[in-house]
Amino acid sequence: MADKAILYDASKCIACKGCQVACKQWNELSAGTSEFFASTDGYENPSDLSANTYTRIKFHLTEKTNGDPDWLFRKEQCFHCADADCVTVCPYAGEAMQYDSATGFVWVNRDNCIGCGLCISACPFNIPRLSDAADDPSGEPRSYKCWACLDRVTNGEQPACVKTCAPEAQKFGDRSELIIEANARKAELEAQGKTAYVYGVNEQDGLHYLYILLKEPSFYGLPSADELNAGSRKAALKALCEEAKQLAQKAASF
Amino acid sequence: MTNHWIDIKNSDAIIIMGSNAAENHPISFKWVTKAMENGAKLISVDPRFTRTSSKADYFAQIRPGADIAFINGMINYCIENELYNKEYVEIHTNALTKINSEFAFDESTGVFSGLANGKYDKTSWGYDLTDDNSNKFAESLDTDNSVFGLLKKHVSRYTPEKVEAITGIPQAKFLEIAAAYCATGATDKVGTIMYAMGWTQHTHGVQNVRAMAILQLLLGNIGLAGGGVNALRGESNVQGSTDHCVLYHILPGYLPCPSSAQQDLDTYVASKAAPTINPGKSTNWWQHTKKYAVSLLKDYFGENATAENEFAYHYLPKRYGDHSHIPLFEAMDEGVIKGMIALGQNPAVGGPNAEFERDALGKLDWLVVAELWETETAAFWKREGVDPSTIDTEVFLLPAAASIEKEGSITNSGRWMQWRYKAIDPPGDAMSDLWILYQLGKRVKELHQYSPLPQDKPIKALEWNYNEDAAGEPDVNECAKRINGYFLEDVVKDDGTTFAQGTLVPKFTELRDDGSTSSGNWLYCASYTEDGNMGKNRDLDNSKDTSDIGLYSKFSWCWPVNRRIIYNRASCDTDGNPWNEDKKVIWWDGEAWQGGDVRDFGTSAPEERVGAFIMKPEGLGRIFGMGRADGPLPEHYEPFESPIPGSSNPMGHSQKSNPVITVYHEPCDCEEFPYVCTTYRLVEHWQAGAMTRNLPWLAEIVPDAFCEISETLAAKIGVVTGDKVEIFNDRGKVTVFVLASNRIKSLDIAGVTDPVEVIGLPWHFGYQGIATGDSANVLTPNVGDPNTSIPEFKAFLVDIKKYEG
Repeated sequence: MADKAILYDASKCIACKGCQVACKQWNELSAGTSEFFASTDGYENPSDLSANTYTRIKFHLTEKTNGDPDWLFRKEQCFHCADADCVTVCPYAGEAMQYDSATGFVWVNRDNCIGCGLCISACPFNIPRLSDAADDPSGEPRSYKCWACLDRVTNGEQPACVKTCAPEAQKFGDRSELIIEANARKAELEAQGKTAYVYGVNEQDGLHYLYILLKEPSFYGLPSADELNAGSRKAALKALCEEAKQLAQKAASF
Repeated sequence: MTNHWIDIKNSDAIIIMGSNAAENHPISFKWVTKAMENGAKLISVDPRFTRTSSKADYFAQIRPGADIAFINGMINYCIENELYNKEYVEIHTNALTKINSEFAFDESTGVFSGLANGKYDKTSWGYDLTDDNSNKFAESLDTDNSVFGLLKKHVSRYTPEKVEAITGIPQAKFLEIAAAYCATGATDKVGTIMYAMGWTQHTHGVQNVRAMAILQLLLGNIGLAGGGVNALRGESNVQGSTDHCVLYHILPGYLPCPSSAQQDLDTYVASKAAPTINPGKSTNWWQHTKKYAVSLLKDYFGENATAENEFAYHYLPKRYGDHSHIPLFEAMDEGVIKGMIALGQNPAVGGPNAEFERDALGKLDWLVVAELWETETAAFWKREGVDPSTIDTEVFLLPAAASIEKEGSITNSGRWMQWRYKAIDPPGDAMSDLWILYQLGKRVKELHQYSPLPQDKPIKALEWNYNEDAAGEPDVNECAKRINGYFLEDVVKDDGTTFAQGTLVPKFTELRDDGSTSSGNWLYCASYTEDGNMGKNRDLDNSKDTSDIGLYSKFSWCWPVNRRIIYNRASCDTDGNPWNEDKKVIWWDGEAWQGGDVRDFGTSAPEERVGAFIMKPEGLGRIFGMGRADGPLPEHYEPFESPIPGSSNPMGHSQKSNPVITVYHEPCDCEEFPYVCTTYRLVEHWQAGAMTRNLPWLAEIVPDAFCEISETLAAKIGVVTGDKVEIFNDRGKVTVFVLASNRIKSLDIAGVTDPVEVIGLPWHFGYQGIATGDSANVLTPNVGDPNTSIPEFKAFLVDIKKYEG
């Protein structure tokens, strides 16, 4: 299998949240309780990712130059970095947090996860979440995040969120082809007088979740390549790796 | 829909008005998106900036209930700038016809000729006809007494200034949108309208749609791929339920429900089968009414329907008034109606003036609810604030099977009948609706079998054999076959074609008025033939398609006779050449008609000038529509409850709201209730909420009832997003969360001192289920459109204040 990816096109997303529900259905994730909305920008819920919420639509409300509202959406989930900091810092990298060699997607084998939470500290996109011990089948906290429905993908199916997407704002395919498609779509949108950005081609050596965005990535709260490569971040990662090493040694000494 | 979902991709301009398709019909955006990828412009006109608006090239915030002013303004713009498709208008519409010289619209009183005692005598709205019952035509569109001349004069009052004053939409924005949409008047461009309840739920709902139909006719957009007038139906099978007559005023296939004035079959038939106007040039399809009516009666009453007894026509109940939703609940309130069966409906949440309707349920002797859950309607007697010991209604809750637990067909908005298979057995004692209705009918027949009473004869005569199985489940395929219809005896046609007794009728052109055929719904005749159940067709081979318009004629089946785009003759010019070669539907090749879709006008050559609009006696698309209860041309009338004080209409006349509506209760007054409220749905919930508010995943994403207001209104009443407010009027009060944003803004409206504030209120909520909240419909007025009786949910008056706990 060639490197796979999912392309999310914000210009086509209608924020119907079908992806959120399809994700919960396929992955058998329970609903939480919520009240009203999580954001003043619109109908955002739940308020955060969790061990039971791998993906959600974020709402961004602003204004166009003509005074009309401008309502932008982004699907939040794991980006499946080619150089994934969560894998880098995992004390059991390759056994707990790991790359799927066939597709490039990143997943966590919870049988080997110790719930240390280093992946959460390391992730530049703030994606993984620890479960509550009481709710976890293992009886201990474990790391949870989007795994690109690898059980579907390895059986020739699209991830659940892609399959359900009514306006076809998401596409699953070979990463190299999706990058070409993303750039073509950007050109198409620009030809229509719109602004468009492709996100994920080079970040973290390349993301396996690519975005077409209608405003600059920082508007959506996404880090730039410079921010991702900042020395301070690299230093922090190094410290987390040290911590991971100690955790692994400690575990081995039992 | 005149067209179908996939066909939206063929549009060059899409106006979504009176609907919020991205949220309430999300799958439509698969095709809207494809159209936009091909360069189509998307226009969103709505009282709020919605998720649909977020995708649009143009957005205008309109005052609820002001749609006709906007569309009439567009019509005026289209005519003034000569952007209409002149040839189309001349050959396919009644623009050139002459109307009775008595017809008039009085610009000072604001009403059409013929108004007396709250009702129109429509005589003066008729055509001026020749002795051989043909239209008299004007020489050119410029003629004053032609329909086009009448329209031109009528809409000339809808200037951009007037549009702004009534709708609150700035002139510049109105003109920008009018230009973008009217560009589809070019012969090689096409535009479509996607509308829904935002247009129909008004006291002038039908006229909202009429106004757009007129614009579509002027622009030459009906009959073409990517065009049409497209009603987005709000439930997966509501098109099917309409087609099959789950309504008070029609029988299957849009045959009228007989009225008490129609005491014999021929009088009844004549009420629908108008004499053909323009003989030889008009198909006038309803001339076949008797064949369809007799075939229906043969399905209902079998051998008990004979030529001697007028095919048991006398067994049909006769209407003696308006028996629609609002008067039914008024009758319950008055104790006239003693019992009710609610199937697939939750009026305690979805009905207008819902608290009144809940109280009316308490006056029934009995109520049967068949549902997946105990809905608000089933639990009305134990709602908060009510003492169950004071309610004598006996309530029966029948567990019903969900869609995946039963087999049958659904018909989608695009008129596609698609067969669905049963995936799993229903849980416990739950039964299909078909089982419930069949068993009910069977038991009613058993109870009446020895009755000597004349009024029980129809029940005894009813043909009720549906091949039930051991579990008492009727055969759904037999039901579908009966809808299609059978030959009841051997039939030999004049040309020698023979049909054997007991075989299925191949299509409705073979239905007969002599009792030799049956058909439960003539429109569906051809859906289940000797070749099988067409609803099961799943062939995605599109090779029969001409060009790439996505007909998918071998996938499912659509009425009538699998015609995917109706009025398709109008997709061609006088000589039968398609207006747009790239998106051609059918065309004349010099000797015969060609193309992938089923033609709707027979085989006649273009020079025979047979009209495209086959359902009308004159064969022409009606710019001037004399059939409606409230006028042949749309006029702006204020909603029943208007924010404009006084009794005058902003069009400068004295008829403030629709003159022919039925008023059961006095309106709320704008001095006391100054805010305009409009109800709507969200993608996260569905209708009255039973199926979604009980689902934890959906309850999680929208857990609470809320309203949407402007930032200025929020400041005025001292609330911020996340606070709670009380919204109230004479009918009721709701307490809901508030979401304030720039997606609703106050509007400057002529005749109102302060800017008009609009409150948006989702209506999904109720007191049962996981996600609960106050029902918006306790605030809505029980007043409806004079043609359809659909309540005015989309524009009414309220007051609002901060909830102090």
